[in-house]
Amino acid sequence: MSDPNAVQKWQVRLCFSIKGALVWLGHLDMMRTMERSLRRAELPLFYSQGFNPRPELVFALPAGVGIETERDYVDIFLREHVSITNFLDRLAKTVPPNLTLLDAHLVVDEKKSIMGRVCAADYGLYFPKAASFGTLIWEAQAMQVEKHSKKKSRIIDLRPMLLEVYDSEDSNALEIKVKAGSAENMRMDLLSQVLVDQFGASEDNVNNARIVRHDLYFLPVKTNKG
Amino acid sequence: MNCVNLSRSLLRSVEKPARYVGGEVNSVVKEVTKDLVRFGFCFPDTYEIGMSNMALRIIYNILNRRNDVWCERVFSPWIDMEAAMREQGIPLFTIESRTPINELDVLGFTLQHELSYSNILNMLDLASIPFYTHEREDLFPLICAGGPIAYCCEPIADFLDFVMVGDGEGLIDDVMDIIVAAKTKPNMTKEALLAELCGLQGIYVPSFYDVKYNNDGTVKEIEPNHPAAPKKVLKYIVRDLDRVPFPTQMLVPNTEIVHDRMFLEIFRGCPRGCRFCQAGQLYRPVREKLPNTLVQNALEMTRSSGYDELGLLSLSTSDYGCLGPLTDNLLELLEPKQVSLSLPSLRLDSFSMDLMERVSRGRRSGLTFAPEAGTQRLRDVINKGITEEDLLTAAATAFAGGYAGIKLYFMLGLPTETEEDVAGIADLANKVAEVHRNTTPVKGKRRRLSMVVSTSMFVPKPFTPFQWAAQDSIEKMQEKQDILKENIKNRGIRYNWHDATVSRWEAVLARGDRRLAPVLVRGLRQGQTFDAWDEQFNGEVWFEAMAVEGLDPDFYTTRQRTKEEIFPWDHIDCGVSKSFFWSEWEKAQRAELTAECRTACHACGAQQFKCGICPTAPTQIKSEQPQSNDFKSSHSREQGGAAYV
Repeated sequence: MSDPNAVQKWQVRLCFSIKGALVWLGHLDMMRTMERSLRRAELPLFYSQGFNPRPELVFALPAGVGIETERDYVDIFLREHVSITNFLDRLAKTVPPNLTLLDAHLVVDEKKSIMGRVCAADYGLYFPKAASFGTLIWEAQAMQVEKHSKKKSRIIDLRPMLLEVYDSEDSNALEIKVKAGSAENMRMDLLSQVLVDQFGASEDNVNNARIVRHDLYFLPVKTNKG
Repeated sequence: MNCVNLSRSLLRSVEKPARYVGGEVNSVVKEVTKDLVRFGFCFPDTYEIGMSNMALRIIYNILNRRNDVWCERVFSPWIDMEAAMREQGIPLFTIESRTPINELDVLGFTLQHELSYSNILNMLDLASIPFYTHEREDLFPLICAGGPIAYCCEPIADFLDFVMVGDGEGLIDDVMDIIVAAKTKPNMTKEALLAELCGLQGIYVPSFYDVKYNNDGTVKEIEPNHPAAPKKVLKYIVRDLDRVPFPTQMLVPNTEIVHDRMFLEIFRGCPRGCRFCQAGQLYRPVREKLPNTLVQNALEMTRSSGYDELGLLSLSTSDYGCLGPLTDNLLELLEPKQVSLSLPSLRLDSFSMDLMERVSRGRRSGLTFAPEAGTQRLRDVINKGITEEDLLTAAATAFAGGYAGIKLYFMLGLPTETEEDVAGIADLANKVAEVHRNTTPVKGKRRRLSMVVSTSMFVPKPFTPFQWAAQDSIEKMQEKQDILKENIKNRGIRYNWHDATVSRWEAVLARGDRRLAPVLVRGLRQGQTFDAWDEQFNGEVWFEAMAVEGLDPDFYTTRQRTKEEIFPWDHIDCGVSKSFFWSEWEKAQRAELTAECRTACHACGAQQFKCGICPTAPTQIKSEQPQSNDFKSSHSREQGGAAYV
């Protein structure tokens, strides 16, 4: 580090999964839950400066409410070095039920934040009743849906965000790879809406689907050393 | 065991689904056996409000320490969830196991305020449990209640099998012992069980009392109709708060709640004796927890919860005997753990201002002062021992310290209030604004004044010196609000007022009797719930229901009571005598002050409990409290090592 006054920070990337009751948390709730788990584990968190010091947590991509994740990522900043084994052991004792720690590693010299590097995601939608939408959506020219934001709503096309439809053994499942991240992101609630509006799926079947985000894809790392 | 299924589509369709699914850290799940007594702690409001309640945490902890009882939580579903549940035929369920609540053995409602009555009925209705005690033939579920309003819950008395009056954490274990035993007895009847419960101090079985009324509508007599029922039910009191288990293994909600922090009750009761305040009388005498216990509790809670804020709870924080040393020690231990401290209910003195400065660590959020009344005369009537000078000095200190946001809280309609008193509120606000103009901040730069003046309507409450007082009519309340709207003109001051109709309905229920039960049922049948939520409240429904039942709201609200009147709650004894309240009521008419308990004992009645700060208390208990310096050094010896891991 060039700045002699800079405080040493250790960046730990934690991979975890979410299911059950925790699926219904909003992103802010998820952040608080992770923060409190870390504090219960008494890990040496790095706190921001100022009147209201906060630990730094950077989540790769918040999953929407009601979506399970199989590999979710968060970067945690520590002010002291803690071995990965120790880190995982301590945290495993304090996370709530339904949050499972998978692995962790120390991140060195990554310039861009993990959030900015997310580019795609694999999702599985598992419907209670038969529903084969794979071919339909792959062959569709457009998948238009109304996206509501706080101030206005607009029509957007989801089709360009669909990257792949995987073959699935299960006739009730839809396995897809879609664009994800801060630039372009296909939301599963919007996709569900399209399935109803454009492809005649029953609302009941779609709304009761179990939705799982299997994993995320990241753009290549650029390190500080180039 | 039946278990309610909450479908994904249901959870996806409602606001904040996290509040219905549980799965929190430190929540308790037990294996159900035949003899396990299943208790539902029912909070008649939403999860976010209920989870912020201290009673829930305490009772949950105490009951779940037992092997023979499982306490689960039950909250009111919000309007959208309720609609979906009714449509899909889903009964009200527990958070922990999603068991329909009619399958539990005991449902205990906490009564925090009267406006929750409609939600209590709605919760029973959502589980198809008949409202009236006499309609429920099975032994279980038993419906009971506790909390501050349990002392005067006559409007819902006909719905409750039994009521726990007083400090529930000391009483509930004995109650559960009796119920656990009853569950295994083959021919146990409800009457026999309730009679047995009556043997415990603080247990009130409403059906064991008959109420007769005079022709003018007042109560003629309240008489026990069962040999087991005492003539008067004396509250249960915990004499030493250090000895009751405190929930240091805190339930940590997954979703944000209203008071999303750790809390620590530093003492119960209040030595001040403000004449409008019910809590201050019900919890007499003041019983402090020892600083050592509190520090120990704080450390354990911090470890178990991971919270970053600790709030000290009491009715009047400044009155805690060792506040300075306590906060010093808490800050010393908590700051390295990035836990901040919040101190509500501070008095307006320089010590408090210093203290606030230290705990706020330079943050400048808003300040709230509660002078309650606009003139010195009226503040003396209500025995609120603060002066205009106190307020202006505190405001000057605050402004000098860089605060610009200030909130002043008043009540309108206090006994003996005149137009001059009402205008006095505006005068006082303008004087505070003037202080702001004349004060140069010592730290930071000058900020524009942002003052909120907030008024609520006085609601006379049982077990206060004002239980005889009349409430203003709606017209009078509105006139008074108009006076303030006209007189508060400063651009930096915003005036907020509270809906007068809510206060009128609250006043009906507060001093209500058993004849209001059918009114409550009628209102619920009209779909009226969540009365404490301004946007949900509809007074018309309630006053129409009263009319149908032949009751006049004015009888309960605007009528001043005579000394002889028997109150609907006279068979409950909170420890403070009616004659003390009457003498306070007379002193109020003369605007005469009563000093706080430590200065002089007024023999209010609470001295019978021989505990806390009463002169009758055995002296050795609290005089052991160490001097400030001793406390600090002994504390660092005991805890210093363990404090920071």
